[in-house]
Amino acid sequence: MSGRQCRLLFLGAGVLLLAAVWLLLPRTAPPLYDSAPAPADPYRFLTSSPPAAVAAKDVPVTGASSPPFIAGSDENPPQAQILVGAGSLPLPPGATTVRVTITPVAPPPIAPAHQRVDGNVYRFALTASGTPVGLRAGAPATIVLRGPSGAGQATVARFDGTGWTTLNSTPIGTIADTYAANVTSLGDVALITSPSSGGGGGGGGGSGATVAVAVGAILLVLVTAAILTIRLARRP
Amino acid sequence: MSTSGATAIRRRPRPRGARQSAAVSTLLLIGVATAVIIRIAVTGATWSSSAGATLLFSAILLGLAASSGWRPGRPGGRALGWGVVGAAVLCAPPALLRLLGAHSLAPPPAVPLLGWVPTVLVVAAAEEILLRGALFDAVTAMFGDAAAVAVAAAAFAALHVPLYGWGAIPLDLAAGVWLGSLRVASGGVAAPATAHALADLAWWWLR
Repeated sequence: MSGRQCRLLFLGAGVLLLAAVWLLLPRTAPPLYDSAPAPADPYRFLTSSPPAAVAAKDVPVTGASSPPFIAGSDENPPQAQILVGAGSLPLPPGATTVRVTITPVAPPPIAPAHQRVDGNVYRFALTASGTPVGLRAGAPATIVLRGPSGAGQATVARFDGTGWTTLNSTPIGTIADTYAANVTSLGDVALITSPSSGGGGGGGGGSGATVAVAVGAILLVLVTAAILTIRLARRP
Repeated sequence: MSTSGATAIRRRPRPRGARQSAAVSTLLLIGVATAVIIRIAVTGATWSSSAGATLLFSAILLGLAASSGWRPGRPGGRALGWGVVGAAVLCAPPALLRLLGAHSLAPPPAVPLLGWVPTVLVVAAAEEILLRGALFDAVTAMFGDAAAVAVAAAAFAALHVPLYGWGAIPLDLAAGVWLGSLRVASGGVAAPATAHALADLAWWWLR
């Protein structure tokens, strides 16, 4: 294969791959191909204009077990996401697709005890070829929720129809006001926070961040030194 | 910013050089991962106001590229042309969606355009110099262009996960392959860096 043919092959593959991703995984918002500090979309409430997005995604089933998938709302960054592992769903016989929907809904009349709902309540639902399905025992899904900015420390909680259950929640890296939690069943999920909480959500994580920066800096020095050593060894 | 001439299919070097290239590739990937961790630690939860951390991240990437021996070439008009074409391809789908009215105009971002542009340009150039420059050269020396495109694209997708989540991986992977193919076609970093920077800048108006 000549150099020209090779270059055309690479370019063709690149265009085809981009086209395939846009066709198979359509987005409604343009991407930013950078790790620049993209301004986050303002939080969209159910009553905002435009309102919070409803997300729906169909995932094809190719084998006997359910496929892994990620789905999220279209805001940047998404306000609600779900990550489901392979084989997490008990599929009915003959199921060909799994449909996940994430719908912002009005908050239930029962408020969490001594807490308030921070942002939208999202209803997560799964169907397999039209039949509602839940999660297998021992196969939790991960739900990620972003709340309005400046609300301070929040927790992911699930409403079971009678009350709210707080879930073990983890802040997500650099995405402000965003928390992840594992759930063993779906339904209505929201971030909840203390009524007095407001602000103080920033910061780098105190001493843990300092240690990470220090260890990272040492590692970078070692990496750089190793690269330079290899370069020196290359010289005749 | 670009090395001169188009890239033909690269042949594998001698075993010793190959081992050294593999070691440099691995070290550069470790360096990128470390840069991401440092950035996360510095940024904390202030995702939308992390310009300082982004510039630090860019400086680390540029330092790693420099330590590996990567040096800027002189970008030619042909490479810049490839970059403009590359940006057009990256921007075409969202522009089409915009024309078709598939998404509504988002509220104006919370930062001023003039404050955002330099940061975007710096980080786009830094990512390309490290990924499609230093790392690409090191991987190509051992495994050839196809592997270099794949490794650089995978690293490109992975380093964006902390900001955009796992859902962004397919598109970032595809964009990484496209930017890598621009590197192969043009023979230098100028084309992917131009495409990357222009596509990012276009985001302001396409969003």
